[in-house]
Amino acid sequence: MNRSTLFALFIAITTVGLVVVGTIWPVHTAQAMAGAGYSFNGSSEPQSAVTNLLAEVGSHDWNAAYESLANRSEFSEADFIHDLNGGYPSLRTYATLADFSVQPLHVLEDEGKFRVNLRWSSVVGVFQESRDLRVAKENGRWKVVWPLVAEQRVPPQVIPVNYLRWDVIYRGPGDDWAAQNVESPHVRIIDMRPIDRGNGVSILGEILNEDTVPAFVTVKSTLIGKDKEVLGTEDSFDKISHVLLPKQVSPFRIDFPNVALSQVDSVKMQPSSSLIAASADPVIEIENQKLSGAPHTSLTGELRNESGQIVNIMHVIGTFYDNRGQLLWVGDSYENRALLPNLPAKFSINVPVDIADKVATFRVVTSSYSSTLL
Amino acid sequence: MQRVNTSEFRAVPLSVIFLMAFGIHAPLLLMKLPLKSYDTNFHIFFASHYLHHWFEPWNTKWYAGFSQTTYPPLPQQWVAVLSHVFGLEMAYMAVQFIGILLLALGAYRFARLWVDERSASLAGLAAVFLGAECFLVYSAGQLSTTFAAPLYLNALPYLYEWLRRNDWRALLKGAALSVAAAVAHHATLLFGSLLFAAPVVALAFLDRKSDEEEAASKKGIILRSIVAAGIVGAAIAVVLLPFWIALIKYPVTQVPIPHPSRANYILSPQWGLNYFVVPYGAMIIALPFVVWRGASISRLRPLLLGFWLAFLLGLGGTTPVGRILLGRAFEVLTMERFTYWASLLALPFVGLLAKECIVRFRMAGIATLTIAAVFTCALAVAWSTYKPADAVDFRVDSTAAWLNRDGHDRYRYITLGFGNKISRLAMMTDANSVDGEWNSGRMLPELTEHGGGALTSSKYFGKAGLDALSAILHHADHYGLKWVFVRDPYYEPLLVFAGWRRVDDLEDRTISVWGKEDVPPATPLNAPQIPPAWQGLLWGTLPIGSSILAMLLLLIPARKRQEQRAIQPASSGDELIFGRLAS
Amino acid sequence: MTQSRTICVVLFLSLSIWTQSAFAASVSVPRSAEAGRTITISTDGSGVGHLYIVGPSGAVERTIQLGARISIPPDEISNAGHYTVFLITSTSTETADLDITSSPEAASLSFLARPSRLPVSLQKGVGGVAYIFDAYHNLVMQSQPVHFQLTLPNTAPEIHTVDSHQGVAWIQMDSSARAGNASFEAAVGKGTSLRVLQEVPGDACQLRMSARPVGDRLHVQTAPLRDCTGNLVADGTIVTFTEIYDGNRSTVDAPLKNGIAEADIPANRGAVITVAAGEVLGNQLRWNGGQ
Repeated sequence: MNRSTLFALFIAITTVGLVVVGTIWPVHTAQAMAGAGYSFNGSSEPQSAVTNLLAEVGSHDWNAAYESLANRSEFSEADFIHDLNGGYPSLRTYATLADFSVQPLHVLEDEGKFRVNLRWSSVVGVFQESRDLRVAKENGRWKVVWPLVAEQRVPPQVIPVNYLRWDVIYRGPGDDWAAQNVESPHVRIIDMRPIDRGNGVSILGEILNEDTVPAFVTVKSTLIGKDKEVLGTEDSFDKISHVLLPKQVSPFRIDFPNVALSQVDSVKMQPSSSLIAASADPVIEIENQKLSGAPHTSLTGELRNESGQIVNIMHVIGTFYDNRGQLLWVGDSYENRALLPNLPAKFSINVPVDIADKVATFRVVTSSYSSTLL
Repeated sequence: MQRVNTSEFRAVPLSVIFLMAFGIHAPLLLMKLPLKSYDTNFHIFFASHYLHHWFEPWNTKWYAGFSQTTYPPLPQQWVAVLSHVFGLEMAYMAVQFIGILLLALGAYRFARLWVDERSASLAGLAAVFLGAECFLVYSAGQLSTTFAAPLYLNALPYLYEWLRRNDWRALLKGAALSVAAAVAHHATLLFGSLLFAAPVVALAFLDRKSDEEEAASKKGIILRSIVAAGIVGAAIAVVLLPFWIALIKYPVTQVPIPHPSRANYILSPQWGLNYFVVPYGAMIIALPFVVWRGASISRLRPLLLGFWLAFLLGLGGTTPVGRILLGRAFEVLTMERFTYWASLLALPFVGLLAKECIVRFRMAGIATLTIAAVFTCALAVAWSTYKPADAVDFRVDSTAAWLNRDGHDRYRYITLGFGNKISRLAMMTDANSVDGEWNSGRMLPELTEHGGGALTSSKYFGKAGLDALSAILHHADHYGLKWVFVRDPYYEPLLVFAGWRRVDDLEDRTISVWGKEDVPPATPLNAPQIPPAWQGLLWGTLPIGSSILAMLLLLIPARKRQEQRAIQPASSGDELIFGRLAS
Repeated sequence: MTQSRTICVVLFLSLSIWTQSAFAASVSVPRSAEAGRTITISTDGSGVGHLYIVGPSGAVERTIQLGARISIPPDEISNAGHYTVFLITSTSTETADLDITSSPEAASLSFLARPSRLPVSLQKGVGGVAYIFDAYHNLVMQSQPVHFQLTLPNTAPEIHTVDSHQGVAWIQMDSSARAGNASFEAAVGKGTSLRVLQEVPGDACQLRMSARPVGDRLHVQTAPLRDCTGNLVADGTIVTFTEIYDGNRSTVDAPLKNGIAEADIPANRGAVITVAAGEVLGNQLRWNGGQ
């Protein structure tokens, strides 16, 4: 074999070798592109079966994921997709699997059990889900037995609604300068407390709509330093229920990262309100609220939609008080499944560890998003 | 098998090559096909800024202000100049067409260094049909890449002349063209130029004794290489001074943004199709020949090595080479440009293969080559239709009109679900945005800290993109960001829960306008990145001046030589020329 | 545009005055006149002259026969303010001052009523400001009696008369004890202006609820919710029912409808149920299975 042939073979073999290496041990970017948790291993190992299934779920390759299940004869592919994506439009529908972890619970010769923690990325943030998956060996290959949670469906029906609704007509551009305009709703901050959270300052508070019309509220806050300098201006963003019906109270939390409370001399609060066309629907009942115990304290409960409208996304905001009624914390969570009429759905709001043992009482409010477009 | 004498067909004249380029690309460009690509509107947006503010590189339309000195300006400035005659869009097409013609010429001249006249002419012809070129022009819209590489290809034969024969005229021309290429595209300068230049320097070494009359010493070539590199480097340092200042003072430290060209094309076959099959096309069949012939002929080995390296890098994450050789740059660069450069480096081999096919198989060979070339070109051109940058075409006129009326442009805006239409919108409106498409130019911490691309496409970047969107909405007051135009209801929940209200609908309710109360009007950011006036003056004169200088220098007649120095084919042609010459 | 023209005329006339001051003529105008009256201007001499009347919102130009009396009709000079009259002949330029005052007869008014929505029984909660204008939209500076009338349907109107001062009259009034849309009218002379104020119920005064089982759940319902003056509290007002049972809490925010809020909550024997609306607390129930 002459030198030219050797050189050509070297290039060819090296190229193939590099491709093989890059495929078996892909660089991080390539791995991310191939799907969350990609593994080149086949389903020869029980954990690989779980990992590959979740990778297929992550890349929305539903057909491949469904086909790889051991118990697919028990339900249809649509049921499987609805279990993961939601049957009704919700946060899950367009969520992407950001990452996951697989933790073996027990593995025997022909079966095993794994706990998987899925982190889904949605438009309003990340939500987590934990499932226990059983794997079984079939014809020498490990397959996942999917624990299908059949999503509840609302039977076809006509639900009469006669809820209240407010519409607004503003003064027109051609009106005389003295012509009346509609008054902005009157809102009032009924409680406010700044707290130091180590990595920043949080302003906690509650705002009341003391008017007889719905209000669209936001709360802005400016921290003033010792030398009267402005340390920062932030607003409540999504840590508030922006639409307040008459006499409704919403908690709010405004976060100032990288500011210490010791730097703050005063806090300037700027609540603002405007009229909004709104509806009294949906009425949400929040049942069985309770604080779960340490170490991972959380406020749990069930949401029940007492109206006839399907709520696509529920936002639950919890206010936590100490035994003197002082504000301790405002936390929130988004529900990733649609809330169907009269079908309860669980929710959970995490409580920071350092606050959990001081919580004496709490209050929960909800806000909702319904759309025919989502 | 019938063999023919190679003297039966002559080299394809340049005029025919240009005519082919005109016949194939002029109709496509007149149809403004590149407007459907990913980046064309981005380049037109830059050109639009030069058109209105030639000496002011600070552009307030994106990212609440960014410096256009972060991107070499040559093609966009020429688009701006020609737009006075053709309008921006047709000016872009004209500049792109010039790039295509320069590529055909450059491919021929570059190939002429390595192979005989006929093979080189076929390489030039192949450049017209090159899949990677068509992919970048019509699907990716990479004007700068496709403008810079041809300039380098045209510069290298002059530099070869300088290295071999100490011809100062050639040095001037080569240096001027190299500088022009550098001011056309920075990535081509920083990464591509080495891939092209190193094989040519090696070739000069290999060829130094092939011409007894003008034999060059090893030392002489090294010295002339240093001189050429020094002159070109110094010129580039001066001409692109504002770019270097921006790069050094404000290096790109932002979190990398995922790009599918860095995928493993086997694990992600859809991207393999996009970034390997489509750009290479029928050239994939020629790859074994490239390796075999490149390895067989010692004179071609530098070219083979250059090609191989570019090829491996172009494979993105399919091999670990990119990550190892480029380091962090691997996470910043898009890798399809390496495929493009690999294709260009392979063209001399393709020309050689084409010539041999024609010699051996006559009409059958010609027919096969024609089908392969047309298929490659057609697939890459049509790819913008099969896999368009924007799945749904829509107009942004109404959005621009809305922003331009009733004082709406006193505030900043972002769009969601507009894809690469944001460049077009930015050109049409007086309002400024905190979003944009030039990721390396952005400085807002909300955008650079998360690893998402354009906000308008946040959801495609998963958590990183949505975190960036959320961060910028958090600081809407700070940036005077009052308007969000939504074309994708996916984002509505975030806006609803974050306190934004729907205030209007456009385009038959397919675009909704969301507003936020109490946002103060936008004020100019007093960013330290704003280039001083002298940099604006340099930026407006030196880059385009360097290209004009290059054109003038090319008018200097070449030194006459007694005989053509390019490697000549054997007169009786049924043997392979370089196999004999080199081995 | 009008201002520019006025400036040009003034400049031109000043120049004329300067050049022709040696040939002074005379013009006689009233020192002041009321808007809406014909103004008569007398001149001396013979021949033809040009008369200019330059005022706050324009100028009038006439070619006149000197020695004749010129009448300016009301619609040509109607804006109140200070005017300058120029008489220009071939030999001289004469000037005179003229003040146009507003007519004492009020013809219209602009009425600002605030707020458009307020709670019942609010002392000095209603504010009204009337700007009085004559037929030519001049602010009537002479004091005028302005009648303010606040009327709720089926109730006697509350009427107050206030004299205007410098063209403006204002009043503060208490909102009624009854909720409803009140007509708030200001009248002066022949001019009237009507505004509608929404007088809304105040906070709930007494909040009581009852409960009854419905299937496996408990239906809680408030008695009609009234404010302290007996108005039904505004529909849509949120009433919060809270059930505490075995450490668990269930809440429903139910909107009032026709003064009543109702909701279904879990029926737990021994549960304590409370009700609140805003900052007003209601009664407390302990559910013992219907006993």
